[in-house]
Amino acid sequence: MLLILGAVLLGCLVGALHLVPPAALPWVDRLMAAGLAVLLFSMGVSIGANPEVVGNLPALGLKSALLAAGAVLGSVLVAWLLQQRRGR
Amino acid sequence: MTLLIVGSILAGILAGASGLLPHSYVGRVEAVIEVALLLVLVMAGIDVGRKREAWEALRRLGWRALLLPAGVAVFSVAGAMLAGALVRMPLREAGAVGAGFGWYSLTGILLTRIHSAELGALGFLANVARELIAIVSMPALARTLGGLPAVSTGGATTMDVTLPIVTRVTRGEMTAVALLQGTCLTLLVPVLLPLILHW
Repeated sequence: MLLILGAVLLGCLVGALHLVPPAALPWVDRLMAAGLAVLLFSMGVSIGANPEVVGNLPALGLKSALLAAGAVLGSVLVAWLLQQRRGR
Repeated sequence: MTLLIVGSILAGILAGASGLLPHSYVGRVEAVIEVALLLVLVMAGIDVGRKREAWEALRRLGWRALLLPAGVAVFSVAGAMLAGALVRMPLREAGAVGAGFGWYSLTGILLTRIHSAELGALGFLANVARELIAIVSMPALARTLGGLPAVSTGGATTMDVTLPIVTRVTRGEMTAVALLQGTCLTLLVPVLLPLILHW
């Protein structure tokens, strides 16, 4: 948790103080895309290789997907309403 | 972007389930995730630090910026309760699962400890699913409905895992808003979840 906040803050500082030379800026984007691909692939691996998750899927998969969908739809609805209000 | 996201996750799940990956990698996958996460967070930080738009969105919203995490908290719980009612689940249990806001590790542990292993497993899976839905739907939502709805799907995860995705799909405009939402909701999970379960 602290490490996560520290990483974001470190980045903010580096960005705000313009410590990255302009020539290197495209690399920020590229590194983020490459890091994301590694991150998401590894997250997939940890889900796929977890016998508890895979074993529980037949029994709990549908129910958990339904609950997640409900929470996401609720969030999207309220965020969309807030966005409409802000637009006025 | 969607292709990179969905492709990476699907390839990972299949590769992980196949058992073909070298153990030296699978055994350290949590460490790889940690390092990759820190890398993308530094990059997202550099982006938000450089861009004035990112902070202007927050300044323009003012105190109303807190309405997003508050609204997402209430409607995540309500939405999960509604979905739970469809399968005759006790409202308190469904609401508590929804109050994980995508933070699956804590939700799984909390629910196992204060309720049961079954609800813990369900809470874990449902919040893994929420994070996956957020990751996969953010690009399309940002294009169609706009930045706030895209951010809202991520719940508590917009302060870490989904932050770089928000940065990319909203061209940096929503990074500060996402950080605020993720931080608020992350702090709220350990307080709200037991409250809903025992109300």
